[in-house]
Amino acid sequence: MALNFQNNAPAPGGRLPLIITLVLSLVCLGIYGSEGAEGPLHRVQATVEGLVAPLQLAGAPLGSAVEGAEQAAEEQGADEETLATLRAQNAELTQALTQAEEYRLEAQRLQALLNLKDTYDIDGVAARVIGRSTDAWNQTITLDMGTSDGVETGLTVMGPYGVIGQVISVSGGNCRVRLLTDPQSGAAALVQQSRAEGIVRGSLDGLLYLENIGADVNIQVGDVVLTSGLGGSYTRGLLIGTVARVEGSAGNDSRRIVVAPNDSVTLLQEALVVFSAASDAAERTLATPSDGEGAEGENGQDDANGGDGQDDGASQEGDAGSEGSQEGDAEGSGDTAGDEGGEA
Amino acid sequence: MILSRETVAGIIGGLIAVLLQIIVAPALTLFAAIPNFIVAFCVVRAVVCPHQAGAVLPFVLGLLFDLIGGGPVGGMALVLVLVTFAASRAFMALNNDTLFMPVAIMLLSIVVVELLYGIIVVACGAGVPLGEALLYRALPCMLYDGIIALLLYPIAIRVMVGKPLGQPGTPILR
Repeated sequence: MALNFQNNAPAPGGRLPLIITLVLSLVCLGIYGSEGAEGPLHRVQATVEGLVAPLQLAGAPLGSAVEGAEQAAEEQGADEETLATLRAQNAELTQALTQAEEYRLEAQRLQALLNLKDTYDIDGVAARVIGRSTDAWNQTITLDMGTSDGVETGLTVMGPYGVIGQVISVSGGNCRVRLLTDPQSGAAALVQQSRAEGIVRGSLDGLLYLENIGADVNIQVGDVVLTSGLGGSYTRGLLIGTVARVEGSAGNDSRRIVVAPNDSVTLLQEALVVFSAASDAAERTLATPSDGEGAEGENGQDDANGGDGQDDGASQEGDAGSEGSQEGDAEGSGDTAGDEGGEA
Repeated sequence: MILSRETVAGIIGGLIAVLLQIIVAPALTLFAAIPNFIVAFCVVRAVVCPHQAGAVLPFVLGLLFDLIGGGPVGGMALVLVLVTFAASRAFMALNNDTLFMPVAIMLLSIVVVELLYGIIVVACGAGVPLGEALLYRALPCMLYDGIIALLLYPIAIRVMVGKPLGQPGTPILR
């Protein structure tokens, strides 16, 4: 193989630009790593992201097209007759109802948000998703509400059916929200049935894991997971999701609990930035999307428990385990556990 | 200051890459992997016109990527400056007028970019194990970026350079 060593002329402009850019990069990295979330580089980053977020709206049709292509790929297995029928129906419906459907869906989402506000007595502001993360390492969205609307760093953000994330940076007219599924996010959580407290963390594989749960707490598939409000990072008592899978059993330290988030958002949908919620929000039940349209503002937890095989014995065990293993949270969870026992 | 064709094409291409990254990339998410047009462009440019590659454009584009995304500011800038410099020098030294060499250098550079960036993100407190980060993010992203770079290369070789780099005394391949 002939090599071309005679062609290795020095880089244009010498090595000075290389050295300068390397030093600048390292300085930026150092400052970014050492400053807090309110530091100058973080603020510049939030501002730039806010500025470019409206540009992402131009890509929304492309996103829809990609989703359509994915769906089409999934439908390859269907027979031709079925596909032809569906295509005809789809064209007909699209022509007649596109605009109306859009309005209906928007009204439905807003109605769900209103129901959510009513259910939890939420004081908050509704915002529209105007941007998404442009890199693979962060799962964030940008909302069109900022400091001028009262939004602050650390506030909880909900979709129509549950918590989706937390505000991590704010500028004048928009804010950035780290989604629950981001590996850097962590929400203090509470299992509604057993009152066990832990932390819901995102992961790189896209799943939510419930961690730091006492090894002796009995967790069942279908248990409802809420924010516990511990540490003040998330507003207490808001629905995160339900336990989807439990790998391992109680008493096993390596047990992994997978939580299915109750909600997610896409571009141009609406979300609710929560300023505050009812103090007894953890005792209120929010309907899941599959329960029907909107949320039911009911107290009690019969709905959440229905048919999941959770028995009182398990709950009692869970209480004991939770209080034994989770120090410092006895005042809230202990009281509410007692209330629940009374209701049951 | 005289602007060569390579410089102008680099600036325009860089702008297009940034716009694609903002507008198109989020819509092309596949299994949590988002294509990185900026990385692909910088690496392709380092191979297509290694004498004009320089460090400023990769630095600026990397910094823009860091600012519009949520990653550590300066991380991608540092990685792109290092890797594009190494890629351009490697190509100047190893170019043998075959298609293999630029493709191999491009793909290897993309692998290194994603690996180094993944390490920086984890080191800056991403809170995830390095192995998971590389498996779930760096690996799919490098595959995605590699495909984009391969698609971009023939376009770049036509648009960005007046004549391709060749060994002295060898016929020009187009």
